[in-house]
Amino acid sequence: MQFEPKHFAPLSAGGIKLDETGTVAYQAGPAPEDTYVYTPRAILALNVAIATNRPLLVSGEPGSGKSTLAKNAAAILRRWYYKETITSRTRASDLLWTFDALRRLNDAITPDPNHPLLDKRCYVDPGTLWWAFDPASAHYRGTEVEIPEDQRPRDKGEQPGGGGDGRAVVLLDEIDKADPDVPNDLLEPFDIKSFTVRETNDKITAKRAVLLILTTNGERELPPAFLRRCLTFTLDPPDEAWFVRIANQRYGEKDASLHTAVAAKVMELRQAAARAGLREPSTGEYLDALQVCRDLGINPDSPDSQAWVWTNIAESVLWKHARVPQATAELDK
Amino acid sequence: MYHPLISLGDVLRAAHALNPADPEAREALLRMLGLHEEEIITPASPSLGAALPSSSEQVSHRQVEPPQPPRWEQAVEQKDSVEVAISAGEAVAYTLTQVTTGSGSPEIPAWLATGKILAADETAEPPAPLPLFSRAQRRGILSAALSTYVDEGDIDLDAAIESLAALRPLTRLPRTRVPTLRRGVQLLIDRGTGMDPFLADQDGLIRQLDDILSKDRLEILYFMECPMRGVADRPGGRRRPWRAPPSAIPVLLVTDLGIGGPPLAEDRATVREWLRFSQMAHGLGHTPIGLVPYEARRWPPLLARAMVLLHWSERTTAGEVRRATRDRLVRRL
Repeated sequence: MQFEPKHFAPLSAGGIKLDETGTVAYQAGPAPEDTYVYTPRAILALNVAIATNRPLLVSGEPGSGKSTLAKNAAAILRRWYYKETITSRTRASDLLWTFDALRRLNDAITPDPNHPLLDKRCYVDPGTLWWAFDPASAHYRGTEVEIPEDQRPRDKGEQPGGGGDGRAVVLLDEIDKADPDVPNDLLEPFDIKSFTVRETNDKITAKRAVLLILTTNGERELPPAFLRRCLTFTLDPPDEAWFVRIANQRYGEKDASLHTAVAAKVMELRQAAARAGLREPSTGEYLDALQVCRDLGINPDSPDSQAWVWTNIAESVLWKHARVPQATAELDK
Repeated sequence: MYHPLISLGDVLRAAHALNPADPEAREALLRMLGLHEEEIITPASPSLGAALPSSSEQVSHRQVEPPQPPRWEQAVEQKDSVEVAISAGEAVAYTLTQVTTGSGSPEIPAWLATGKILAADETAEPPAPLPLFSRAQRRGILSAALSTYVDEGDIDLDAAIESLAALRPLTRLPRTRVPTLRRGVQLLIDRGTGMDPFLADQDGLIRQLDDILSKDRLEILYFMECPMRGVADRPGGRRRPWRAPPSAIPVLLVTDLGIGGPPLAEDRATVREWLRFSQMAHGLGHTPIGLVPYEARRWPPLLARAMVLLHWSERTTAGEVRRATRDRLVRRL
């Protein structure tokens, strides 16, 4: 796959090219878990999202690295990183701002000469998108009037790559968990990068470029109007080579035989789960199982004395269903 | 800054920035944008790559395939005739050029004498009927009809002030009621003979609801004439007694209430039968909403009072539906 990664280039940011397919690994922090392995398609997707200034909707199997993509990308881009995990109770306005009416009501009805009723902007709490769009106004809750230091909110963002770029990456994780109204209500702030705080009438407009990354497990379909404004990118299902590639990158190739042995077992379980119509063990679960094997010194290909240990590891870390005959048969081979 | 739907402009922006050099990269880029290459091919730009600006240096070290002739030219060359087969779904752009002559009156072109009159295609399917709800209004109509209300809106200041003015402590924060679609809907579709003319409309309605609610919030059941005669999971499927959903989930009926169909049909649902259904639904906490493709003057008055009936017509507006459903809410309160 040939293109010029002008906007997002993990290789030039210090990533390691793993093979001739163009797969690149980038370690954003000191821990092995901070490593993300980018396929050429993932690199292209991020470049397209930045070039077109569109939200990027990432789908894929649970545990395939959808959520970790955004933070690692923020590190490579040296951007601020903001994350919001969506739940069924999340409202679109929560991502923009919330207004603590109860505290204001309480302050109003219990006058205290030492704590006079504050400007109503002091009861506004900037949401994730506000911080990403314009941290300066979020810091002052939208007002241009100086507010007391102790009334200023703290930036919700972090700088996984040390910052420096000034722009932002926002992850809205599991958008499919939201009420159907939420994606629709977000269309306008996504489109015009602007919104108005209802209680104060302050108009907040994005002062910096924001790369929006949304993830979905595909549990619920998203409104077509929302989808039509997003780029879509689906992470490929893993195969054995992919497992081994990620493990080698995380832990080095010294234990490559262990990585391969666990990967082969996980692939067997994936096939068994697919036959039984169950969820297949993911990349994340493979890495968990591998970590356990490394810590406990277990090798799934070891003699029979250790076979039951591996079986238990597999059931609790990988399988996570009741014992299924097909899987057990595979395990007991 | 305003972003309408993804368009060719996004493709060009991304292509200009990233210079995708091989078909794989171009295909991946287009898929991420929700487009496919064949959809945007025109005779003027046979492939995306050929239309892209690229420096001579880039061309020199990449294997650039010679541009292929446009598809319509290929068709002409192969068939050696003026007949051009255009398959369904294929987009072909034409350029019209004004022909002028010295005499001021257009000459009859030579090809007109050799052209064959195309026979009417008797196998072509007639166009799909226009949707019964107008395209612009249908989202608003269906949202208004199916929304339920939750106490999750803004602080209900009137209620709070009323309580405080009476020196009653606020034991819970009163909130305004806001509509939500999160509860989904049970859709009951009448496949009796009276609804035969509206089969395509029913299928269209299912698609529209699916767009708004997504599949997991949409329970579709089919019945003949009246749900009291049993419901099935698919048209013509094995029938079982109707079971109401939990009371918070609205029940939407798509039916003619026995108004349509052959005048002498013996299996026509009676008003008494529908009233029994309505009473049963009310007993279980539901006020059924009926979409009826006949105007209000033909509705049985008893049923119009027992259920919320909406005229399934292109003249119906979201405002009318909102008023009708508000009345339903008031009646239930």
